[in-house]
Amino acid sequence: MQAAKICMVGDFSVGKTSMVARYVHSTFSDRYLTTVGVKIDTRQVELEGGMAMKLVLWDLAGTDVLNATGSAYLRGAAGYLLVIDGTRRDTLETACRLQEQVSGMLGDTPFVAAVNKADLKAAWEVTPDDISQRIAAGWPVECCSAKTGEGVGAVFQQLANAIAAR
Amino acid sequence: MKEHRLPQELQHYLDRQLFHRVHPLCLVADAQERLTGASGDLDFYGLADLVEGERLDNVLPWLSGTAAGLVEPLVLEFLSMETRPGVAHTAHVHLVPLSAGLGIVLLDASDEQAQRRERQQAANELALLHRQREKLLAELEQSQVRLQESHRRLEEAGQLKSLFIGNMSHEFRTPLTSILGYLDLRHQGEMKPAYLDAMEGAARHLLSLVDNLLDQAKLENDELQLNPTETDVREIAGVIRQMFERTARQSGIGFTVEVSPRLPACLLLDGMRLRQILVNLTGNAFKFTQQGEIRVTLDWQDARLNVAVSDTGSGIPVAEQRRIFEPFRQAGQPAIRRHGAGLGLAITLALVERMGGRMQLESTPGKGSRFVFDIDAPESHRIPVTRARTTGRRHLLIVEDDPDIRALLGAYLEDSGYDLAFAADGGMALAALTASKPDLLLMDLHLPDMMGPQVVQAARDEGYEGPVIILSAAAGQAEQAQAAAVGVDAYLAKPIDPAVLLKTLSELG
Repeated sequence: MQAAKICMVGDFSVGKTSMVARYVHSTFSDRYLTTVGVKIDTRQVELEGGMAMKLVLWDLAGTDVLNATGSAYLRGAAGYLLVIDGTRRDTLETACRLQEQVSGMLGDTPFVAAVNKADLKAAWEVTPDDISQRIAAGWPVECCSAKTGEGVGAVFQQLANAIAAR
Repeated sequence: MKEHRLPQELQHYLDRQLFHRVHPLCLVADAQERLTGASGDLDFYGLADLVEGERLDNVLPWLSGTAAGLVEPLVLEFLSMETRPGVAHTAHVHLVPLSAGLGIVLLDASDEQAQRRERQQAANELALLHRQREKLLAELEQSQVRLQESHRRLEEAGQLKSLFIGNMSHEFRTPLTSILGYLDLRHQGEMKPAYLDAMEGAARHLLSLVDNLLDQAKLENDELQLNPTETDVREIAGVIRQMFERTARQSGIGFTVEVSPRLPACLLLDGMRLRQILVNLTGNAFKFTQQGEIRVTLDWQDARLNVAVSDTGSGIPVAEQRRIFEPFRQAGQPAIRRHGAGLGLAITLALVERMGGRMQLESTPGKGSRFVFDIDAPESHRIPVTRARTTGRRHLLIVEDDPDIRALLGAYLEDSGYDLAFAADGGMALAALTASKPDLLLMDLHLPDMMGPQVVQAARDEGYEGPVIILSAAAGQAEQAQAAAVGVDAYLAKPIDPAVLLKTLSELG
């Protein structure tokens, strides 16, 4: 079975670990627990056309990839998820910097931008205009909620399909 | 000092210390990442079941992609992995390319990770709190600005209210002074026609003030309803012309009312409110025009009535053009008392908008102003329904509890060709209905023993089929609806305009 290394990147406390927990273990915790280094998980996904793929999920700490030690984690990644917290506009700005950095290291690699915390949409600072701008810049953008599970599976599935299409 | 090789016992001691602290594990794999050798604490990492020749990426999935094509050592710090279900470890992982494969070194980092997590957690939580604080401070600042703005508006409203009360007191006292002053002159045997004219003017001014205040209250409570009926707009234009002709003559200002020939004979709109709008705009033009001319034009196209009222008066500065439509405001400095309550334009604008229109103002200070509006006004081809007239001299029963108003109505109607009978309450009215069989009934809304519509209902039950006119000082929508429900033919508001009363009586015949 084809295995694909996927890195979760994004500012601290945007919900990267929660998205993996929701996707792999169907669990969610409101308590924020910072990640140090990287945590590995796997989940098998069925692709369009019936083929299976093993996703190896690298849940990276905050903005570690911006330093030399952290950038080692990206080696060999087949794709990455750029996670944004809809309630904090600064995490979108961080995502823009990270995307530049990561694409500089990995080259043209599939990615999906996931705007998390859709369950708190009334408190979002990220506006529909912000999202439209990112889409216009060529980003695939999806909204999701690790808390309710809404859209989480779709985000990973979309990325897996994009990797398989390569 | 010469370097000595460590004694073997010391070397063993150091190895044991290192082993217990970081549990080193070395795995060697071939080019296909198959296990060829292992040394170290396999059991600690849950890897005791590894067998030679096994593909390592099955057990250590993080090798997938990461190790391929490696040409120099790669260090992955704090890599947390689950090697068996429920067995998790964090290690510093060193991937070392070998001449015929790959070396993998795992050094336990669980304790170090726990310490670092504690520090990182505190730093991240602090950063989140700091951000939250910044956000709250920004919101607080915005709230403060909003509060200051509300405070300013409240203060302004308070000033406007005080100004309004002062203004109202002035506006009521002036015509009252005139009326009472001229009335005093009757004791000196003087009652010239000019005095009566002045008293009439003062009383009409008071009435317009009361009407404006009531209309504003209705607008604020969203109670003002339109009553579109078949309306002759030419007739309204004639009323406006007649109403302001004298003022124009006296002040030497040119005044014209032009009606387009394409205006249909009958339009469906609220004629009373159209007249009110025209009176307000024209009256306003006269207030602020010292010389030159005032023109009112009425045109009709595509079921819309287009009206313009222009003057050559003082004009309105751009900054004030929006504010003059706010209640209790007038052009000029707010502290300067001008004419009226400052409600006319606010009511006019609200009426135009309720009639499906939009008001536009073009004004140049020193040159004049032009108020333009258009309202819904579909043409009507309906012929007004008229009753069959009673032949011969007609009998009219007047029901009114106030003796002065009763006498006034008697005076209005004594030479009008009606035989008059009077009743002071509902009971007397019902008795008179049976006794004198009147052709028409003119009745006050509020009677001491019952309400007008109750009397009408009782009269209808007794077989009275003639027309009924209700007079009321309340003139509210609810009262009118109540009266309509029992078959009242006309509803006239006090004070009574004798011309309107006679016209209504004549129409109901």
